[in-house]
Amino acid sequence: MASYVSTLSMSTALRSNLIKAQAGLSDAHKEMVTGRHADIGLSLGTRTGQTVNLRNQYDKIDSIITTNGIVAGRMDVTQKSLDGMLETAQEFLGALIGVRDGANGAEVLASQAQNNLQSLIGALNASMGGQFIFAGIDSQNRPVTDFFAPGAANKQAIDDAFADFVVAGGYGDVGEIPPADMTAFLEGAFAAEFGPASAGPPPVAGWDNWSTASDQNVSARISTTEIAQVGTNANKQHFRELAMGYTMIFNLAPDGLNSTTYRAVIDEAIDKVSAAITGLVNDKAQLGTTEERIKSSTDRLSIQRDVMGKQIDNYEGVDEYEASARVTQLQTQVDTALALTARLQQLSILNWIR
Amino acid sequence: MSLSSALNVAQSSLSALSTHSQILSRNVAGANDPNYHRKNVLQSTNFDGSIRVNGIGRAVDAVLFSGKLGATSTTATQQAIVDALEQLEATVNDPELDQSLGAKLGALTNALQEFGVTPDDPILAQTVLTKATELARSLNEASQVVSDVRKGAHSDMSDGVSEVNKLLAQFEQVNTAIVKGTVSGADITDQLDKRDQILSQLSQQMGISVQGRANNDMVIYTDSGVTLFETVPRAVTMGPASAAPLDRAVYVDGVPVTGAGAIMPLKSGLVRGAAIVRDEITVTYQRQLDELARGLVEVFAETDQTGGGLPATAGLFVDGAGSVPPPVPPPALPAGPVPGLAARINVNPNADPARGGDLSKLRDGGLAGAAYHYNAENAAAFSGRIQQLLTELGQERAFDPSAEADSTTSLAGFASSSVGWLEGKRQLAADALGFETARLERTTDALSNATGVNVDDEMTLLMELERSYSASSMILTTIDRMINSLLSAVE
Repeated sequence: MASYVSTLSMSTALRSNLIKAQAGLSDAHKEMVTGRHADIGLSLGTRTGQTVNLRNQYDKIDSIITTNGIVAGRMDVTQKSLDGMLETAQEFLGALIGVRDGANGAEVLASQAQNNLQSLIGALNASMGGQFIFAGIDSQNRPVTDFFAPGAANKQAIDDAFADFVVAGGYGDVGEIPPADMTAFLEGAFAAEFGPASAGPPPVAGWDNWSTASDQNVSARISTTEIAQVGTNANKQHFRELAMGYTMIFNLAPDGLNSTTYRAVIDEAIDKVSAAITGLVNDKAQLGTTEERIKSSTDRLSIQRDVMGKQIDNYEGVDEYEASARVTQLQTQVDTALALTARLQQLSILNWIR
Repeated sequence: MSLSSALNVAQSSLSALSTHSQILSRNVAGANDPNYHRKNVLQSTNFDGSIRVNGIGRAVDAVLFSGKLGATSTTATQQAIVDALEQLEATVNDPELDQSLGAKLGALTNALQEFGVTPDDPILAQTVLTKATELARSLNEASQVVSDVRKGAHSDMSDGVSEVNKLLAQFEQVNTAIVKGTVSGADITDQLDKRDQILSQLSQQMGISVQGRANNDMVIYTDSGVTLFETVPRAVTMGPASAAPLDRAVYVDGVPVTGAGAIMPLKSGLVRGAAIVRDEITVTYQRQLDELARGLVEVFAETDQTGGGLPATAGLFVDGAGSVPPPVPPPALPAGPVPGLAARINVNPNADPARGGDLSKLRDGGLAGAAYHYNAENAAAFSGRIQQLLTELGQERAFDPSAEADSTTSLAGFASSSVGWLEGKRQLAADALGFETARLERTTDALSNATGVNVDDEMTLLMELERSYSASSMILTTIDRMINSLLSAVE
């Protein structure tokens, strides 16, 4: 017997071919539709770990890009607020210089100072999205005490300090205060009301009466490795100087002071407001630098993210046209296998035995 | 007289042809049975011309048969490994679905990043807690899957052992019958078929090699050389009794054949595949899960902020249920690999409002006690601790090298490396299974062609038998007529 073929082996071969072709067809169809391997783990093996890692990093970078957008929005609001304060301060400085040289318009100056102080306090108390943006990391508490509220501690402390000064100097009338003494007061006890708290004697609450903000600024992670300070706080020196300048013009009213003393007050105010303007500009510049850093970090991360997206596709993707060609070929194969199975089973000698 | 001898010959022809028909019908009946070997009649001619049936012959091919036994065993090994790896892969799944532990760790990291930008938002804090809880739960569930796979492999091993014992008992019966039949000259072809069937089933469980002896007796050895059957079956057990059930090895005839202490380890078979799954694959994967859990506990650990010298201790992730308030003194951090940590890891209840904790501790620290409070000013937008955690998450750390994943990498890198290890093993096992299955198919095919039945062939033979039978019957009737006419001539 040359070579023998058993009936069982013939039918088994036909059946197993059919099953294999059908399994291959379903996989090829899935690849054609999704554009990725049907079973990533089987196709990639150990390199699946690398694609998981890439996806991880992709999501991480995406998340940082999103949070950078939030942070940039907040910084924008802060900058606009600082712009407003700066403009107001510069106008006030111009008015101060005008009054010193011309010695009229004092009443208008006082009311301008009052308005400016109100708007300064309002701006420093601004909130965005539930956070007080000038409160530092103590963002859930309104930072600055309203000077104009009845019984405000900051106003009370300044009024007391002035009253003490008048009593200590023994002046019969406010108009008797000489300019040198006034300057000394303004640079001494008055300035102390805007400075750090001290135990005394006598105990002075100082800037604590004005602001509960934290000295620590809010910081955020702007890239995978950088953390930056993304805000400012109401305790900064330039805000104190602005408050000082406005308060001394508005609260130590011109009525009653003699003209030279009044001029001394104006000079002090000009000093303070100029220093505050310089400070504000510096603060804005620092924040602007951070905004630049955020922007460049976002740009860099966007490019990285896109590159990673392509790499992930490289690992996991299949050529859809190739998969579609495979589907067609396997369909033909299944068709042929089915036809053969049917035809070969009909070939039997039993059909011809009577 | 030659007429009577002609009668004799014709009659012997008829009986031989009936035996042929019987064998033919047995062949046709066994055409679809993969264990059936084609039979034929061995006949010879006597000196007086009559036909004698000497016995029933059986188509054999010893080489192909032992090849088929080997292929069955190796296929069973790989199948066991592939099936277990498929189950383990459920803990990872398609990377796009983000179900792997690495992806869940990434989700926690991103939630922390968002929280770090707006630390005063309690919704973001809740998101961090939720992601952390998901991660801990995924680790617990993955551990459960590994434990289930391990138990499944163990029960496969013990089932395999009982199956082997049962088959060896059956083998003893059939073998004895064959030896007796060979000695007495009976037709033992059906028993031979049955014995080969038992051998096929046995090779599924363990790799075997067989040797024939006098009188068709057979001896079975494992493929590593330990005696399974020699006149009587040898004991196949799981032991020793002193070991924990999941650590027991398979003993054949007192010799351990699986596990690290095996002197003559099995090379193939379901039992070997299950032993690899139970003793190597699941153990290594569990180590990876436990190292991941340990890394988590360490990354989120809190240090004493008061300078009081208290040890660093577990923060957001704790071993076990944890307690509110935190225990004093605080428990020490794990120093090295901790077996079973992945099954026990949990989120510290001091962070969970539903269990008596406080969400703000996620931002402020203090999960391990008041001395571990980081937010000195108690400010709402304090992000120092969060940024510290994010930095720590990105740092490289050392992992146990016996976990077979990247041993110096970040926590996320280790999780990805673990995925790569599992999928790599799966790809290798699937390729090996494909190869072994193809080999088994080819061998089975060849064996079937050598020893199987072709129904068309048998039917053709039947037609010839039919004709010979009619011819012999006709000879009988003719001789009968001839004798009748002779006898009637005498009257």
